[in-house]
Amino acid sequence: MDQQYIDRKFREKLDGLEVNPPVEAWLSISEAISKPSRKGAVPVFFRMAAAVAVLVVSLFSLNFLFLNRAGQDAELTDWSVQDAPLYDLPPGPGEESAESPTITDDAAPVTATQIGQPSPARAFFSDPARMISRDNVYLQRTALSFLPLRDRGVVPTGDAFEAWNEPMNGSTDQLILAAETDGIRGNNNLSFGAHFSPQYNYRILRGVSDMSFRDIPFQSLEERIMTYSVGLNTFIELSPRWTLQAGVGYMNMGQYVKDIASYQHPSRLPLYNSNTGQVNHPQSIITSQGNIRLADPHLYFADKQSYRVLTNRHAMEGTDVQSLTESQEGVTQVFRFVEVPVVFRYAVFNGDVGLRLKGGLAASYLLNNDVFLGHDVMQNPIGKTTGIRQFNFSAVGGFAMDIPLTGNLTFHLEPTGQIFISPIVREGVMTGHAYPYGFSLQTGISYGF
Amino acid sequence: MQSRKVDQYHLYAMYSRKMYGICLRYAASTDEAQDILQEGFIKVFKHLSSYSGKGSLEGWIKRIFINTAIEKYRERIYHLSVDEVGDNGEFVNENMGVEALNVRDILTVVQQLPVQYRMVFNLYALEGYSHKEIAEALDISESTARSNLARARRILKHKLNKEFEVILQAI
Repeated sequence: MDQQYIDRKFREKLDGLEVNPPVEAWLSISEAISKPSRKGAVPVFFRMAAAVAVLVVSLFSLNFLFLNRAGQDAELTDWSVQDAPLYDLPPGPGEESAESPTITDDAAPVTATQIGQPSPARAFFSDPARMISRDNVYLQRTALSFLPLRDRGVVPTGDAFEAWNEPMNGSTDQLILAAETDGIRGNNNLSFGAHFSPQYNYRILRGVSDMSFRDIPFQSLEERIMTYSVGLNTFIELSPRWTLQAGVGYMNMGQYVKDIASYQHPSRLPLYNSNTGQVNHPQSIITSQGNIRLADPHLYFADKQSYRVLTNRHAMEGTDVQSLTESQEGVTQVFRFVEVPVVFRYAVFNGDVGLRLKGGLAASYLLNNDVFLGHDVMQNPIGKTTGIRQFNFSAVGGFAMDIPLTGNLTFHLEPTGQIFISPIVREGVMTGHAYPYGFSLQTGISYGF
Repeated sequence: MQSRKVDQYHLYAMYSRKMYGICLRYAASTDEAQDILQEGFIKVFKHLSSYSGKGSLEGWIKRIFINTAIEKYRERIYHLSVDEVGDNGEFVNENMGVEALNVRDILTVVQQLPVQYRMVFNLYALEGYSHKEIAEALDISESTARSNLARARRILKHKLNKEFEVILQAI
């Protein structure tokens, strides 16, 4: 039968075919064209980053204004630290002084007026109006910084400080907070820092049991990898206990896909197209974190344990695969993100070394991704992973040790965990969901102003 | 904004029946055809201002839909196993029942073709693409395009014979 006959008959029947589309088709089109385009997603990210920046600047401005007010208060009292006569202050418990009365437990609370020669500093701390609210702790701390009592040996520390302060105004807690904060980071309300973090990366699988897709046991065929992240941070002290950390970082995540044999082709794969410089129907590897599309024209892959490698049946026509040399067993996927973390830090302990708990969220934008042969991520990539979400959100938590180096310089050592709260692979690409996570030891330095 | 949407609806009402017919030819199911229809019309609305007026508007829209179907095919091909892409069936029966079948049956037979064969057959037999153009569009070699077309024809013949036998038995 003439081959053209069948073409002609089908053309006659189907050319110009008209079929009423379902009613809901226009509704979904109408809805889709009403939404912002996909390109609009990028500005959303930058709007989000801008919002974080505005938040940071706003908080800093508020804090700055607040401190200015404290400064004005101090000026209004017209006292000078240098001029304040220290002998006006009562001695602490256990301090011997023949010239000043000793404060005992049954003594009446000492007030500025009782001393007779009130110093501006003493009046400042004694004023009940300043001691009412916890907010005033800013003023108090500021005042403490103007008057480094502890440094000058005037104010005792710990329990002795409490005993010394108790009869005076009853706002011990606030003063202790203020006094403890003084010296932790040199009383810095704003700090800038940088960190570097070696990072252990893997993923949690959810959805179908064991994330089996076509009966592929991903759990036993993929492994963690070590990567790193770097970042710049701003620390804004919101209160003596709370600090807001925001910044921008560069993060690497990924995994190692094992038991994938690679064979070095002596020339180029048969489906290599010299006009395009690409392989027609390149091989793919299914992983729990997207599908790898291989692009190296010299490499042919085969799965040694399962059915993860998809190959066009014409891929190796005319080639004896058995004769090829096996070179590596596995590939490494690396995803590179730029991220904007917003993290709150709570001071659990304020001593010479500060201990903080931290927790927050991070928005990350996929910059690029590469696949490498074996474990060596320094060589040329051999492909890309498809199906990865461009935007991801993750939860961040951990501890932070702040170790003051000098008055303004602080060393940070922070064991940190991070886990994606949205699946890294787009909906519909895989059967289950993979949530990457990482454990890192952030080491960094910040400078306070 | 609202008047623009009304214009878009008028354009949709004018061409959606023809374009849906094309989508059905390239898709394996009505769901897939609706996906192509939606994506195609979004592109039409987005790029309508770039239509220069050369050639018919219908031809311009049709090209967008065919290109959309090709893009969908390219996206999909990466997630298919070898079995889904190809077919080894060899068919020898030369009798044809195409005359007796209605459009719905014909369409069903085309939709049941393996995706790569369906693409090649549509582009060659119904759109008039050359093998070179098909090879470039689908990122395959010309020889592959030729062999896919031959296999598509063999499968169509076989399936049409089966359909025809069913019709004869029903009579």
